[in-house]
Amino acid sequence: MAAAAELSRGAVAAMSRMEQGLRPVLQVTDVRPAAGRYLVALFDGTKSGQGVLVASMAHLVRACAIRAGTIIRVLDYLCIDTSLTPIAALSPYKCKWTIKARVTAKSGLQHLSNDRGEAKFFDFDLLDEQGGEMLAKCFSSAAEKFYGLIEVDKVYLISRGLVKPAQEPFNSDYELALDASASVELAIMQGSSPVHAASGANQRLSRAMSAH
Amino acid sequence: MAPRKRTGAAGWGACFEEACGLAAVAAGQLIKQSQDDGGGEVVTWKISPVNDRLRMVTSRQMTGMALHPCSNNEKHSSVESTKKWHSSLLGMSRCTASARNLDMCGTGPGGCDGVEDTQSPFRTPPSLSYRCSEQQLNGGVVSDGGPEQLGAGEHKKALLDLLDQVEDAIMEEELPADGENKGEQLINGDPKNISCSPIADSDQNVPSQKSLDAPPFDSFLVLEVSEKHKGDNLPCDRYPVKVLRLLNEHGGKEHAVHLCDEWFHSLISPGDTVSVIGEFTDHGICIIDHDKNLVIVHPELLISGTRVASSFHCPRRSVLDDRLKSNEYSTSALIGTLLHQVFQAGLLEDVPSTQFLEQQAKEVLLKNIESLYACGASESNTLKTLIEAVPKILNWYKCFMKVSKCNNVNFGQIEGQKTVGVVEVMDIEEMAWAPRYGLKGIIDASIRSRVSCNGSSYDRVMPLEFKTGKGTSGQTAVEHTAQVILYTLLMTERYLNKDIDLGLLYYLHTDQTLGIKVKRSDLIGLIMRRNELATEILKASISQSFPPMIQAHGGNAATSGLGDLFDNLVNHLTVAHHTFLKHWDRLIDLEARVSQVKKKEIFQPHHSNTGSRHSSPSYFVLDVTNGHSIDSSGKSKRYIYTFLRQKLQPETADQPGEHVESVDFSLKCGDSVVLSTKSGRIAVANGYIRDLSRAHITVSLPRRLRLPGSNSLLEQGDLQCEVWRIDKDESVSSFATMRLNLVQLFAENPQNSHLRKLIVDLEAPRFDSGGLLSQDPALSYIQSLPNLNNDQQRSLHKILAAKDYALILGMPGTGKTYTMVHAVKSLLMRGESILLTSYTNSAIDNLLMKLKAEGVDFLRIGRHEAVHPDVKGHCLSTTDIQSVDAVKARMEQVQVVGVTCLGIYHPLLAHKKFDTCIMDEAGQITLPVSLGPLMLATKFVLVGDHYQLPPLVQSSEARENGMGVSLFWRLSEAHPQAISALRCQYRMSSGIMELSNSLIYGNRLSCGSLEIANAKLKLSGRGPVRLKLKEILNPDRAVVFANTDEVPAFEAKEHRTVNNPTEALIVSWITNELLKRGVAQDGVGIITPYNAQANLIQQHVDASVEVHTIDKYQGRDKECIIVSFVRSNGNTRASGSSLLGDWHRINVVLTRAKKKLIMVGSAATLSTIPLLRLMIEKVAERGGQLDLTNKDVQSIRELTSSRLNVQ
Repeated sequence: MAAAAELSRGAVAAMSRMEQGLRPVLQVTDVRPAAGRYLVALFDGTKSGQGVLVASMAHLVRACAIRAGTIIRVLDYLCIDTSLTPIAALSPYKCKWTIKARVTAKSGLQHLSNDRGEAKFFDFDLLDEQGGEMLAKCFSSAAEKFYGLIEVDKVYLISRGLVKPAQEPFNSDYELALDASASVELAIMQGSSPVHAASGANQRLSRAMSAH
Repeated sequence: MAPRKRTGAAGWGACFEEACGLAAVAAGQLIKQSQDDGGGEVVTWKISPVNDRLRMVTSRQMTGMALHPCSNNEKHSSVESTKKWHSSLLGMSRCTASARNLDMCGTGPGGCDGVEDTQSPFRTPPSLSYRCSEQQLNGGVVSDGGPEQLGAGEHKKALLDLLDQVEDAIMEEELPADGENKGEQLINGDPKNISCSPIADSDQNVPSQKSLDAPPFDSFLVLEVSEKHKGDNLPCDRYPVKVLRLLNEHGGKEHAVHLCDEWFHSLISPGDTVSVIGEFTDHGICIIDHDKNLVIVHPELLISGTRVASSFHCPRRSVLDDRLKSNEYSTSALIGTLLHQVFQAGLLEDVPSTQFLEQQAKEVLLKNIESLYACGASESNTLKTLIEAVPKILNWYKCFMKVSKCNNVNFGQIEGQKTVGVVEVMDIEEMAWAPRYGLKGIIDASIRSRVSCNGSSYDRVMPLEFKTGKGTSGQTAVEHTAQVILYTLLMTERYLNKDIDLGLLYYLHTDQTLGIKVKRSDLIGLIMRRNELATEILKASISQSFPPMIQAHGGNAATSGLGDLFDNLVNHLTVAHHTFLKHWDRLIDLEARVSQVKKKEIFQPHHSNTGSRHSSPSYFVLDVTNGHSIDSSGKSKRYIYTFLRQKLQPETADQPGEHVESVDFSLKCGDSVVLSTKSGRIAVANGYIRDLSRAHITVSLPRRLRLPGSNSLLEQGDLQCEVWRIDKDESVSSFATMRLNLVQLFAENPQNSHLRKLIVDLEAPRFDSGGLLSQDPALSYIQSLPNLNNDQQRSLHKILAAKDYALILGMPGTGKTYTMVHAVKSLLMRGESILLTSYTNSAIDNLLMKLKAEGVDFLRIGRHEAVHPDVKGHCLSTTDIQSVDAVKARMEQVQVVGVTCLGIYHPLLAHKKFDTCIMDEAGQITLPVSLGPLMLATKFVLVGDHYQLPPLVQSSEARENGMGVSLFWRLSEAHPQAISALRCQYRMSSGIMELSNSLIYGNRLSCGSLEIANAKLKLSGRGPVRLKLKEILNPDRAVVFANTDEVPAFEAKEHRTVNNPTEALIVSWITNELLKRGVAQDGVGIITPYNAQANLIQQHVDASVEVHTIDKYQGRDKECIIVSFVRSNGNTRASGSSLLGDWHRINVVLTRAKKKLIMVGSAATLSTIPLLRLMIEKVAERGGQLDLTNKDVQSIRELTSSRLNVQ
């Protein structure tokens, strides 16, 4: 048991650099469901990273074999490259971007009436680690889709929105318009590791597999 | 330029291009079926002197395009053709030509395909059966045998040799480095050129010194692209990273670029050309990431800022807009243009007032009266709109043009509010090229502003963009901001100033001025989009494929309604139509790419030295004696500058004296030109050539010439210190017009459908049968003309009888222009309207001047600089036309309009249709260019001679695949019965005529009168000592070939140019002797195939004697022509020259002289070319060959030296 408790320090950073062939021993610090999968936060003793379990591993979560605190050995993994864009670097002329930001405020779901019927609308404020701020707006189908997902003080990965000039520039020249094709995902937090809450690792790991 | 609304044609083009993709599979299947059947005849595009065997040769090298199978109708046409041939034989007997011409043998051309009628009198190739057997003549029977049955073995041998020559030309085409073939040479590729990209060009010469004025434009060839995801071995420790291995195209040095962050997603491939904005480390590495530096893909593709800005919405639309000329007029766009002009006029005024601006509004309206007419806009409403805008514009001036009352402008969240005041308006409508960034644009105003913020002040150069539309927010504002940001890059390069990062955006509608601060993140997105757009445009031009259509959100073809629209637009097209369009689209792209290569040379300011692979460009200095003048006679003010050719110092001490060269012969009056400086400023100004001579060029510019960024106080001196380079601006817009013509041919409307059947499907043209109505006033007019010969009369009847089109084959000197004048007059008798067109302005004006002499009224549409002075009075001028109603009245009243083929999208023609289009010099116009004018008329007449020069096509691949075949040629081959030939010529004496008549025209030519037939040169004065030299000048010898084999007179090659100094000596001596004996200077002309030889001869003859290459002599004639063939080498192998092997060019050479033709060359070398051997043999038969010896040349040298001593 003492050998199993020896975590592979530096493994999260190495995996984020897409190094292959590693079989690290990591500790699960958080598990939560998302879109039919389970998101896991992994800790190597120094840094934390995020990952998605393959579907065949879901039964282990349901059987409580994998939960916060469990120590696992990752036998196989695939690293998906996602470069994060600071909010300050967003531009209407950029097509591929992903931001990671905390929701600092959220409006209620409003029902608007116009000549073409009823529409739903809500907006929320975003703040990223670099201090960039931006207002995001959702209309109609996007409002229905994302209203339940967005919660204040939670961190999200957002991409494929439309960057527009801000109607009322306050904190930024631009604002974000999200439609149903936008991508909004909950980002894994490291709340259980207060010492490393400001982890710099931005990589998501998938296909984490238990040694047991 | 009138504003164009980008709907309709471009949108239709998008739909059709989609149809191309859909039909591709079906086309493939059909082609496969036809190959399996083997029943249809495959008609190849290439037409050459020996069709029969050549078809086998070409089929081995190129895939034949199955255009249409043989049909019974075609055989029937052949029968009709035979009947016409016989009737013309009968008609010939009534000709009053000299007795000698009655001996015409009438043998048909050899080498015909068995399927085709061997009796077609107008088929190419040129006749090889110039010798008539006595039996044939006596029997009067027309031989219908093939080449094997010509009888004489030597004829067969000559034919096979000619075929071999053609095959050699196909296998390997070696071109001398004459200026006119420069582009073609580049495309063929230089073995030493290490570049594999057809676009990229490699110059081995390293600049001897770095220019201090502008940084050199370094472009790089991409050798290798690799992606790295691990960061351990990379100096920047970044991942992922895309590594480009680059080769500097000038210095030959290798570099590496690392693309990090967003740049990793750039689409770059080996073979691409890139420009790097950034510094390389000592190890030759440059890192481009989110924080610094830029990479530009295909920088030679200058894309306009507006095109990049609008491409975010729809990339496909942007690519199509780049390829197709827009031909629609929009009132709102026109009003925007007018408002721009009013606003800009006020910017240049010291103290603009309400009165001044309102006066400008009226003047601007008057200058754009033609566009108002095209839009159908109301004059009073438009003026009212302009007047209403004056108060806002005036208020803007008050806020920003007075430094003491600066106004606050918001530059965004980060920059915040700044106080801005305009200190100086440096230019308006400034055209800027930035090849370093791959961008171009026209900046509404270039201003220098005083910017104040938080107590500190500084001056900034910045662009000012003026917007008149209602869209001031949302996506529209995003595009406007993008445009301003890109304009800061244009100004960065143009003004050699790296601190340009601010711009102003003035919205007239909301009276709002925004400040634009360039953000790095915006810049990255814009440059990456520009790079993607460049790749898409290049891909479209290489493979004719386009970005995909955008799917409607939440809908499909049925619910969006696009499906029905799509079907309606393309349902009528057949597979053959798709194949035709795809084929010609590709040919246009091939030709456009050659033009692109030429344009790129403007970006390479290199030092001229003898080692340069290309001919050095000419350099000029500004003529300061007269200063510049202002010409207000045209629509807008023009600034006239004169440049003097700079005399280059000889590179070596032993060079005899100063090397005086003529101005680049490729330039001529009316050409568009780009002015750059030798020190590296590119495209400082654009203008037109107004006048030029050996020593000077006068150009007309839309604005005062200035060096951007220089101190205005010292500007005049700076201009004088600069060494200028003047390049021809090969217009890319002509290719957009060609594509538009092509696409419009397939639009669904009755007139274009009719034209499509004639040109694509090659349906037979219809003629009124049973004779013309005797009451026809046109017929009465023709009968009343006493001077018409039978051919001319028959041609006029043909034109009048045509329901679709007629083809007038005008052989040299046959009164083609005279016939056309009377064609116009007879059609006018009927009350028809006529569009006169040709490819060149000079060809149109030549015809119009003769109409003017006949008292015919007409309207000439064309650019002021390009129209002949005698015809300018027939242009629409604002002094005569003051209102839209006046324009409308003039357009309705005028019956005859003259315009070039590429000028038919002029606003005055927007509502005009014609009964007949007459196209002159049709044999020299490519098919896509010809299509434009034909769409404006119900029927057309093509006048040309496809035995003379074909269309000038730079790309050899395009030429060989069909671009070199004019529409005139295509229709002549398909329907010979539509041809009426003018064969009675009034130029050449009989001895001269005999050459081309037997070699090319199948003995169909005849002299118009005995006087013409017997014309001789009149000489006076003493003869020289030697008898042989006297015989060269003998007027009784109409044709002389002075053979230099015994001299000998070898050719000399200098850096891929070829000349012949001994021939030049002989030719110049002959010329000077003729002048001494009383021949007028304008009566003598010298022709040579090579520019270098022309330059050499020009140095030794009187300046007023015209020395030109063959191509420039088309359409001209002189009393006496002297030809210098140049080619002469010791061995008897083929000279390998495609210039001399081109029978079209030889035909031009033989048909320019009226009374005497003197040819100087090496019989042995020239005889390796079959046609030239036949020519020399024929001259020798009639005693015209004179074999010069070394003593003769010595005698010439002595005479020349003694004359120099006397001087």
